[in-house]
Amino acid sequence: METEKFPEIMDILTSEMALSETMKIQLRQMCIYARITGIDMENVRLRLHEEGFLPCTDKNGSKKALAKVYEYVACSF
Amino acid sequence: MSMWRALFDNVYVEKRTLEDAETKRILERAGCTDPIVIEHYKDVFDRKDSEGNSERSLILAHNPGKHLYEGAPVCQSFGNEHFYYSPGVMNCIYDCEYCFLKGMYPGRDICIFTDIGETFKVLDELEKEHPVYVCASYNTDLNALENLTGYVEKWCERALTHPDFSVELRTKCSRTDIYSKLPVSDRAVFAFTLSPDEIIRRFEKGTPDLEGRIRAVEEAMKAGFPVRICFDPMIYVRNWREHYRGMMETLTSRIDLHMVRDISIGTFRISDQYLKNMRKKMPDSEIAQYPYISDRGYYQYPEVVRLAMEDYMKELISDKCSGARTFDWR
Repeated sequence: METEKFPEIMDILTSEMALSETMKIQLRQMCIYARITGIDMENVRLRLHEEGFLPCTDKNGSKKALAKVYEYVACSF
Repeated sequence: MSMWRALFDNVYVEKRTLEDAETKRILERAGCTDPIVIEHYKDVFDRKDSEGNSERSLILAHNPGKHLYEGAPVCQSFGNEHFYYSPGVMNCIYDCEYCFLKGMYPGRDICIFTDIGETFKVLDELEKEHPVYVCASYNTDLNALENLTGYVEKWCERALTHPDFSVELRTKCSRTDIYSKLPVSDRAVFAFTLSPDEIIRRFEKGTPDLEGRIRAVEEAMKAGFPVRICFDPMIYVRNWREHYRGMMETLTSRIDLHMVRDISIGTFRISDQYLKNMRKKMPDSEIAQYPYISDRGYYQYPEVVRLAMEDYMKELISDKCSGARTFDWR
Protein backbone atom coordinates (compact mmCIF):
# COMPACT_ATOMS: atom_id res chain seq x y z
CA MET A 1 0.00 0.00 0.00
CA GLU A 2 2.78 2.39 1.00
CA THR A 3 4.68 1.61 -2.19
CA GLU A 4 1.70 2.68 -4.27
CA LYS A 5 1.19 5.87 -2.28
CA PHE A 6 4.86 6.89 -2.34
CA PRO A 7 4.89 9.21 -5.38
CA GLU A 8 1.56 10.69 -4.30
CA ILE A 9 2.68 11.59 -0.77
CA MET A 10 5.90 13.04 -2.16
CA ASP A 11 3.85 15.25 -4.49
CA ILE A 12 1.48 16.33 -1.72
CA LEU A 13 4.31 17.23 0.67
CA THR A 14 6.19 19.06 -2.05
CA SER A 15 3.08 21.08 -2.85
CA GLU A 16 2.71 22.06 0.81
CA MET A 17 6.24 23.41 1.20
CA ALA A 18 8.54 25.73 -0.70
CA LEU A 19 11.45 23.39 -1.36
CA SER A 20 14.69 23.92 -3.24
CA GLU A 21 15.87 21.12 -5.52
CA THR A 22 18.30 19.93 -2.83
CA MET A 23 15.52 19.85 -0.26
CA LYS A 24 13.32 17.89 -2.67
CA ILE A 25 16.06 15.30 -3.01
CA GLN A 26 16.30 15.10 0.78
CA LEU A 27 12.53 14.69 1.10
CA ARG A 28 12.56 12.00 -1.57
CA GLN A 29 15.19 10.04 0.35
CA MET A 30 13.09 10.32 3.51
CA CYS A 31 10.05 9.01 1.61
CA ILE A 32 12.07 6.07 0.25
CA TYR A 33 13.30 5.16 3.74
CA ALA A 34 9.79 5.56 5.19
CA ARG A 35 8.37 3.23 2.55
CA ILE A 36 11.01 0.56 3.28
CA THR A 37 10.63 0.73 7.07
CA GLY A 38 6.86 1.00 7.07
CA ILE A 39 6.65 4.54 8.42
CA ASP A 40 3.31 5.99 7.34
CA MET A 41 4.14 9.31 5.65
CA GLU A 42 0.51 10.33 5.59
CA ASN A 43 0.53 10.19 9.40
CA VAL A 44 3.73 12.21 9.44
CA ARG A 45 2.11 14.78 7.17
CA LEU A 46 -0.98 15.00 9.37
CA ARG A 47 1.19 15.52 12.46
CA LEU A 48 2.98 18.38 10.76
CA HIS A 49 -0.38 19.95 9.95
CA GLU A 50 -1.54 19.53 13.57
CA GLU A 51 1.67 21.09 14.84
CA GLY A 52 1.34 24.03 12.48
CA PHE A 53 4.40 23.28 10.32
CA LEU A 54 2.31 22.69 7.20
CA PRO A 55 1.33 24.15 4.89
CA CYS A 56 4.02 26.78 4.51
CA THR A 57 5.05 28.93 1.61
CA ASP A 58 8.27 30.55 2.79
CA LYS A 59 11.74 29.04 2.67
CA ASN A 60 12.48 29.27 6.39
CA GLY A 61 9.20 27.67 7.36
CA SER A 62 9.79 24.91 4.83
CA LYS A 63 13.24 24.28 6.26
CA LYS A 64 11.68 23.81 9.68
CA ALA A 65 8.95 21.59 8.28
CA LEU A 66 11.48 19.44 6.45
CA ALA A 67 13.57 19.13 9.62
CA LYS A 68 10.44 17.96 11.43
CA VAL A 69 9.74 15.36 8.74
CA TYR A 70 13.35 14.19 9.14
CA GLU A 71 12.91 13.90 12.89
CA TYR A 72 9.80 11.73 12.52
CA VAL A 73 11.24 9.58 9.76
CA ALA A 74 14.93 9.21 10.60
CA CYS A 75 15.08 9.63 14.39
CA SER A 76 11.91 8.11 15.79
CA PHE A 77 12.90 4.51 16.51
CA MET B 1 33.66 -32.30 -2.95
CA SER B 2 36.66 -30.00 -3.35
CA MET B 3 36.75 -27.13 -0.89
CA TRP B 4 36.62 -24.51 -3.61
CA ARG B 5 33.43 -25.91 -5.09
CA ALA B 6 31.65 -25.37 -1.78
CA LEU B 7 32.40 -21.65 -1.89
CA PHE B 8 33.07 -20.68 -5.50
CA ASP B 9 31.79 -21.27 -9.00
CA ASN B 10 35.17 -20.87 -10.69
CA VAL B 11 38.84 -20.50 -9.82
CA TYR B 12 40.98 -18.11 -11.86
CA VAL B 13 44.73 -17.70 -11.61
CA GLU B 14 46.85 -14.94 -13.09
CA LYS B 15 49.36 -16.37 -15.53
CA ARG B 16 52.27 -14.67 -13.80
CA THR B 17 51.41 -16.26 -10.44
CA LEU B 18 51.01 -19.81 -11.69
CA GLU B 19 54.44 -20.98 -10.62
CA ASP B 20 54.46 -19.23 -7.23
CA ALA B 21 54.78 -21.54 -4.27
CA GLU B 22 52.03 -19.61 -2.50
CA THR B 23 49.65 -20.01 -5.46
CA LYS B 24 50.36 -23.73 -5.64
CA ARG B 25 49.83 -24.05 -1.89
CA ILE B 26 46.43 -22.30 -2.01
CA LEU B 27 45.30 -24.29 -5.05
CA GLU B 28 46.26 -27.47 -3.27
CA ARG B 29 44.41 -26.43 -0.12
CA ALA B 30 41.40 -25.59 -2.30
CA GLY B 31 41.60 -28.96 -4.03
CA CYS B 32 41.67 -27.25 -7.41
CA THR B 33 43.75 -28.83 -10.16
CA ASP B 34 42.44 -27.03 -13.21
CA PRO B 35 42.10 -23.29 -12.60
CA ILE B 36 41.26 -20.96 -15.47
CA VAL B 37 44.35 -18.96 -16.43
CA ILE B 38 43.87 -15.21 -16.94
CA GLU B 39 46.17 -12.30 -17.72
CA HIS B 40 45.04 -9.90 -15.01
CA TYR B 41 42.74 -10.30 -12.03
CA LYS B 42 40.74 -7.24 -13.11
CA ASP B 43 39.59 -9.11 -16.22
CA VAL B 44 37.32 -11.07 -13.88
CA PHE B 45 37.15 -9.05 -10.67
CA ASP B 46 36.05 -5.82 -12.33
CA ARG B 47 33.15 -7.33 -14.22
CA LYS B 48 29.97 -5.69 -13.07
CA ASP B 49 27.36 -7.90 -11.49
CA SER B 50 24.53 -8.33 -13.90
CA GLU B 51 21.12 -8.51 -12.32
CA GLY B 52 20.49 -11.80 -10.63
CA ASN B 53 24.05 -13.00 -11.09
CA SER B 54 24.94 -14.77 -7.89
CA GLU B 55 28.16 -16.35 -9.16
CA ARG B 56 31.27 -16.00 -7.08
CA SER B 57 34.75 -16.75 -8.30
CA LEU B 58 38.06 -17.15 -6.53
CA ILE B 59 40.97 -15.32 -8.11
CA LEU B 60 44.63 -15.76 -7.25
CA ALA B 61 46.77 -12.84 -8.33
CA HIS B 62 49.69 -10.56 -7.60
CA ASN B 63 49.05 -7.20 -6.01
CA PRO B 64 49.98 -4.62 -8.64
CA GLY B 65 49.42 -1.71 -6.25
CA LYS B 66 50.34 -0.77 -2.71
CA HIS B 67 50.75 -3.53 -0.17
CA LEU B 68 49.78 -1.33 2.76
CA TYR B 69 47.52 1.70 3.04
CA GLU B 70 47.30 4.19 5.84
CA GLY B 71 44.10 3.80 7.85
CA ALA B 72 41.07 5.84 6.78
CA PRO B 73 39.78 8.58 9.12
CA VAL B 74 36.60 6.61 9.93
CA CYS B 75 38.62 3.61 11.05
CA GLN B 76 39.81 3.20 14.59
CA SER B 77 43.52 3.10 15.31
CA PHE B 78 43.14 2.00 18.97
CA GLY B 79 45.87 4.34 20.08
CA ASN B 80 48.38 3.13 17.50
CA GLU B 81 50.16 6.00 15.82
CA HIS B 82 51.26 4.16 12.68
CA PHE B 83 48.12 2.41 11.54
CA TYR B 84 47.88 0.64 8.19
CA TYR B 85 45.64 -1.85 6.53
CA SER B 86 46.53 -4.63 4.15
CA PRO B 87 44.50 -5.21 0.99
CA GLY B 88 45.92 -8.76 0.79
CA VAL B 89 42.53 -10.33 0.16
CA MET B 90 39.79 -8.37 -1.57
CA ASN B 91 36.18 -9.13 -0.73
CA CYS B 92 34.46 -11.33 1.78
CA ILE B 93 32.55 -14.60 1.78
CA TYR B 94 29.93 -13.02 4.03
CA ASP B 95 27.16 -10.89 2.61
CA CYS B 96 26.57 -8.08 5.10
CA GLU B 97 24.11 -5.62 3.67
CA TYR B 98 25.88 -2.59 5.14
CA CYS B 99 29.41 -3.57 4.21
CA PHE B 100 31.43 -0.88 2.45
CA LEU B 101 32.87 -3.62 0.23
CA LYS B 102 29.51 -3.63 -1.58
CA GLY B 103 30.17 -0.06 -2.58
CA MET B 104 33.85 -0.59 -3.19
CA TYR B 105 33.94 -3.69 -5.39
CA PRO B 106 31.84 -4.39 -8.46
CA GLY B 107 30.88 -7.98 -7.66
CA ARG B 108 31.12 -10.91 -5.25
CA ASP B 109 34.40 -12.42 -6.43
CA ILE B 110 37.18 -12.90 -3.93
CA CYS B 111 40.71 -12.06 -4.98
CA ILE B 112 43.62 -13.37 -2.94
CA PHE B 113 46.97 -11.72 -3.53
CA THR B 114 49.44 -14.53 -3.22
CA ASP B 115 52.48 -12.29 -2.91
CA ILE B 116 52.00 -11.81 0.83
CA GLY B 117 55.78 -12.12 1.06
CA GLU B 118 56.04 -8.73 -0.68
CA THR B 119 53.74 -7.23 1.95
CA PHE B 120 56.03 -8.57 4.64
CA LYS B 121 59.03 -7.00 2.88
CA VAL B 122 57.29 -3.61 2.93
CA LEU B 123 56.64 -4.15 6.63
CA ASP B 124 60.31 -5.02 7.25
CA GLU B 125 61.24 -1.58 5.94
CA LEU B 126 58.51 0.27 7.84
CA GLU B 127 59.39 -1.43 11.09
CA LYS B 128 62.91 -0.01 10.83
CA GLU B 129 61.34 3.44 11.14
CA HIS B 130 58.63 2.93 13.75
CA PRO B 131 56.26 0.35 15.26
CA VAL B 132 53.57 -0.71 12.83
CA TYR B 133 49.98 -1.71 13.47
CA VAL B 134 48.17 -3.47 10.63
CA CYS B 135 44.53 -4.36 10.16
CA ALA B 136 44.95 -7.52 8.10
CA SER B 137 41.25 -8.32 7.70
CA TYR B 138 40.19 -4.90 6.52
CA ASN B 139 38.81 -5.94 3.10
CA THR B 140 37.82 -9.47 4.01
CA ASP B 141 37.37 -11.94 6.85
CA LEU B 142 40.63 -13.87 6.96
CA ASN B 143 39.48 -16.24 9.71
CA ALA B 144 36.65 -17.42 7.48
CA LEU B 145 39.16 -18.13 4.68
CA GLU B 146 41.84 -19.70 6.86
CA ASN B 147 41.46 -23.21 5.46
CA LEU B 148 42.11 -21.77 2.04
CA THR B 149 44.83 -19.19 2.66
CA GLY B 150 46.56 -19.95 5.96
CA TYR B 151 47.13 -16.18 6.17
CA VAL B 152 45.90 -15.87 9.77
CA GLU B 153 48.70 -18.18 10.77
CA LYS B 154 51.22 -16.16 8.75
CA TRP B 155 50.16 -12.87 10.35
CA CYS B 156 50.22 -14.41 13.85
CA GLU B 157 53.66 -15.86 13.16
CA ARG B 158 54.90 -12.44 12.12
CA ALA B 159 53.45 -10.82 15.25
CA LEU B 160 55.25 -13.39 17.38
CA THR B 161 58.61 -12.84 15.73
CA HIS B 162 58.55 -9.05 15.10
CA PRO B 163 58.47 -6.96 18.27
CA ASP B 164 57.62 -3.74 16.40
CA PHE B 165 54.68 -5.23 14.58
CA SER B 166 51.16 -5.84 15.74
CA VAL B 167 48.13 -7.03 13.84
CA GLU B 168 44.38 -6.95 14.22
CA LEU B 169 42.38 -9.77 12.67
CA ARG B 170 38.76 -8.68 12.61
CA THR B 171 36.17 -11.39 12.14
CA LYS B 172 32.60 -12.58 12.41
CA CYS B 173 33.72 -16.19 11.98
CA SER B 174 32.59 -18.78 14.50
CA ARG B 175 35.44 -21.21 13.92
CA THR B 176 36.76 -22.43 17.23
CA ASP B 177 39.35 -24.92 16.01
CA ILE B 178 42.05 -22.54 14.82
CA TYR B 179 43.07 -20.65 17.94
CA SER B 180 44.79 -23.48 19.79
CA LYS B 181 46.92 -24.16 16.68
CA LEU B 182 48.10 -20.60 16.09
CA PRO B 183 51.29 -19.02 17.45
CA VAL B 184 50.07 -16.96 20.39
CA SER B 185 51.31 -13.45 20.86
CA ASP B 186 50.24 -10.35 22.71
CA ARG B 187 50.62 -8.49 19.41
CA ALA B 188 48.05 -10.52 17.46
CA VAL B 189 44.63 -9.22 18.40
CA PHE B 190 41.48 -11.04 17.36
CA ALA B 191 38.67 -8.53 17.00
CA PHE B 192 35.18 -10.00 17.00
CA THR B 193 32.35 -8.00 15.51
CA LEU B 194 29.25 -8.76 17.53
CA SER B 195 25.70 -7.81 16.65
CA PRO B 196 22.27 -8.62 18.04
CA ASP B 197 20.74 -11.71 16.42
CA GLU B 198 18.01 -9.52 14.92
CA ILE B 199 20.68 -7.51 13.06
CA ILE B 200 22.56 -10.67 12.08
CA ARG B 201 19.40 -12.29 10.73
CA ARG B 202 18.31 -9.26 8.75
CA PHE B 203 21.54 -7.68 7.59
CA GLU B 204 24.52 -10.02 8.01
CA LYS B 205 23.61 -12.79 5.58
CA GLY B 206 25.77 -15.88 5.73
CA THR B 207 27.43 -14.95 9.01
CA PRO B 208 27.39 -17.01 12.21
CA ASP B 209 24.84 -16.14 14.88
CA LEU B 210 25.77 -14.36 18.10
CA GLU B 211 26.10 -17.62 20.00
CA GLY B 212 28.62 -18.95 17.46
CA ARG B 213 30.68 -15.77 17.58
CA ILE B 214 30.73 -15.82 21.39
CA ARG B 215 32.02 -19.39 21.32
CA ALA B 216 34.86 -18.22 19.07
CA VAL B 217 35.62 -15.35 21.48
CA GLU B 218 35.85 -17.88 24.30
CA GLU B 219 38.24 -20.08 22.34
CA ALA B 220 40.50 -17.21 21.31
CA MET B 221 40.70 -16.05 24.92
CA LYS B 222 41.30 -19.58 26.17
CA ALA B 223 44.21 -19.91 23.74
CA GLY B 224 45.75 -16.75 25.20
CA PHE B 225 45.09 -14.21 22.44
CA PRO B 226 44.15 -10.64 23.27
CA VAL B 227 40.55 -10.13 22.21
CA ARG B 228 38.80 -7.00 21.07
CA ILE B 229 35.01 -6.84 21.03
CA CYS B 230 33.61 -4.63 18.29
CA PHE B 231 30.12 -3.22 18.51
CA ASP B 232 30.73 -1.61 15.20
CA PRO B 233 28.81 -0.93 13.11
CA MET B 234 25.77 -0.41 15.30
CA ILE B 235 22.72 -0.36 13.05
CA TYR B 236 19.71 1.85 13.65
CA VAL B 237 16.53 -0.20 13.49
CA ARG B 238 13.16 -0.19 15.20
CA ASN B 239 13.62 -1.25 18.86
CA TRP B 240 17.40 -0.98 18.61
CA ARG B 241 17.78 -0.46 22.39
CA GLU B 242 16.04 -3.74 23.13
CA HIS B 243 18.16 -5.62 20.58
CA TYR B 244 21.50 -4.26 21.77
CA ARG B 245 20.57 -4.73 25.43
CA GLY B 246 19.68 -8.36 24.72
CA MET B 247 22.97 -8.89 22.93
CA MET B 248 24.89 -7.45 25.87
CA GLU B 249 23.04 -9.74 28.31
CA THR B 250 23.88 -12.77 26.20
CA LEU B 251 27.52 -11.74 25.84
CA THR B 252 28.16 -10.94 29.48
CA SER B 253 26.50 -14.13 30.66
CA ARG B 254 29.40 -15.89 28.95
CA ILE B 255 32.32 -13.47 28.71
CA ASP B 256 33.87 -11.40 31.48
CA LEU B 257 34.42 -8.03 29.81
CA HIS B 258 37.24 -7.33 32.27
CA MET B 259 39.22 -9.99 30.41
CA VAL B 260 38.99 -8.47 26.94
CA ARG B 261 41.70 -6.08 25.79
CA ASP B 262 39.33 -3.34 24.66
CA ILE B 263 35.95 -2.64 23.17
CA SER B 264 35.20 -0.73 20.01
CA ILE B 265 31.97 1.19 19.54
CA GLY B 266 30.77 2.81 16.36
CA THR B 267 27.55 3.53 14.54
CA PHE B 268 27.36 2.86 10.83
CA ARG B 269 29.19 5.34 8.59
CA ILE B 270 30.38 5.10 5.04
CA SER B 271 32.07 7.18 2.37
CA ASP B 272 29.66 9.08 0.14
CA GLN B 273 30.75 7.37 -3.06
CA TYR B 274 30.32 3.89 -1.60
CA LEU B 275 26.85 4.78 -0.34
CA LYS B 276 25.85 6.05 -3.77
CA ASN B 277 26.93 2.71 -5.27
CA MET B 278 25.09 0.78 -2.57
CA ARG B 279 21.88 2.75 -3.09
CA LYS B 280 21.96 1.91 -6.78
CA LYS B 281 22.62 -1.77 -6.10
CA MET B 282 20.14 -2.10 -3.23
CA PRO B 283 17.07 0.12 -3.78
CA ASP B 284 15.09 -1.65 -1.05
CA SER B 285 17.78 -1.78 1.59
CA GLU B 286 16.78 -0.20 4.87
CA ILE B 287 20.42 0.52 5.63
CA ALA B 288 21.47 1.89 2.24
CA GLN B 289 18.37 4.06 1.93
CA TYR B 290 18.48 5.68 5.37
CA PRO B 291 18.60 9.49 4.91
CA TYR B 292 22.10 9.96 6.32
CA ILE B 293 23.81 13.25 7.06
CA SER B 294 26.87 13.95 4.93
CA ASP B 295 29.92 15.21 6.77
CA ARG B 296 33.30 15.72 5.12
CA GLY B 297 32.82 13.01 2.54
CA TYR B 298 31.22 10.48 4.86
CA TYR B 299 27.60 9.65 5.46
CA GLN B 300 26.54 8.95 9.02
CA TYR B 301 23.47 8.98 11.24
CA PRO B 302 22.39 12.40 12.51
CA GLU B 303 24.04 13.40 15.75
CA VAL B 304 20.95 12.77 17.84
CA VAL B 305 20.80 9.14 16.67
CA ARG B 306 24.54 8.60 16.71
CA LEU B 307 25.01 9.86 20.23
CA ALA B 308 21.94 8.05 21.53
CA MET B 309 23.22 4.73 20.19
CA GLU B 310 26.87 5.11 21.12
CA ASP B 311 26.11 6.49 24.58
CA TYR B 312 23.61 3.72 25.19
CA MET B 313 26.23 1.13 24.30
CA LYS B 314 28.76 2.80 26.60
CA GLU B 315 26.19 2.67 29.42
CA LEU B 316 25.54 -1.01 28.80
CA ILE B 317 29.27 -1.69 28.90
CA SER B 318 29.89 0.38 31.99
CA ASP B 319 27.05 -1.40 33.82
CA LYS B 320 28.87 -4.67 33.25
CA CYS B 321 32.47 -3.53 33.40
CA SER B 322 33.14 -0.10 34.78
CA GLY B 323 36.84 -0.07 33.91
CA ALA B 324 36.45 -1.25 30.32
CA ARG B 325 38.79 0.32 27.78
CA THR B 326 36.47 1.56 25.09
CA PHE B 327 37.19 3.29 21.81
CA ASP B 328 34.77 5.09 19.59
CA TRP B 329 35.53 6.17 16.06
CA ARG B 330 35.00 9.90 16.52
